[in-house]
Amino acid sequence: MEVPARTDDALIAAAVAGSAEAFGTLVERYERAVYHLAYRTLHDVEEAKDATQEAFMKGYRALHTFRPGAKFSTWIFTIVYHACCDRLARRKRWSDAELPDRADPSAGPEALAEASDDARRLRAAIDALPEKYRTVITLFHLQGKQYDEIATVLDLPMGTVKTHLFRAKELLRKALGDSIAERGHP
Amino acid sequence: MTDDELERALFALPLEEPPADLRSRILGATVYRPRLIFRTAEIWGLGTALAIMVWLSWYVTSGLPTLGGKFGFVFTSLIAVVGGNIPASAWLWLALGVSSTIWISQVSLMPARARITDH
Repeated sequence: MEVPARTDDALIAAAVAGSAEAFGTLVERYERAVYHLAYRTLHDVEEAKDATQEAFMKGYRALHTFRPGAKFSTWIFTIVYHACCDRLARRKRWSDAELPDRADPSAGPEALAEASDDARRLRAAIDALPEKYRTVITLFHLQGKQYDEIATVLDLPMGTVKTHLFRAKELLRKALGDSIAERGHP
Repeated sequence: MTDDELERALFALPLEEPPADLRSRILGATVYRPRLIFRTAEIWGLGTALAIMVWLSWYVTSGLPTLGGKFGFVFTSLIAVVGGNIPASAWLWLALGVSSTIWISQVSLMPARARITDH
């Protein structure tokens, strides 16, 4: 008989009580999504790793403040998003000009996972989006149509999230339409 | 491309694969992080107490002839320090105390690190 998976709330309560195993399960459950958001925001493997680690460290220290009933994913995404924003701000401070907004060519792992041309084109189109739209689309990818959760993570009004999402989808459709057109007419 | 098609394509995208060592790094920095025997504030407290004790010992063993005179000197010196009139020698001993505190805080007072492996 399969043992039912423990809920996030149960894991958090156990982790607060000192269970390393419970926190390990939470990390296992959310590590990939948190890293995905960090990588998609920062476009750099090392920085994404550091931001992910920082987010879980901050989350671990503040776990006792987590409100039961809230979504752990939203909470940890908010922390990692702020960590990413800090890093982006630092980048801008240290460089005279804004860094090129493109993927790290050595990023590697995801390229291996790309199963089809369509997925690759979609990913390239997302990468080409301005940062605010890219983040909204990434969170939409992670959290689905939970606009209120996306708004919480980004600390934006829900209307702005919907507008950004609409605009992002429009830009994606345009980019994908153009690339389909280019493919159709070499 | 319709909205539904775009959303389906989006949700079908695989998430980024995190680097292999990421989980062990996170766990090593959180639940398996070695705990200090003393908290930072306690280390500072101990260091300060140590510095004051060294300073007092120096005063007690200084050139005054009688034990009563030495303790009297220490007492009046303490009053002077509390009143904000800190003699130069006190600064020296406090500096030594602070440096030893910093040094103690850098010394490994940690239990053996738990071995962390990738899950």
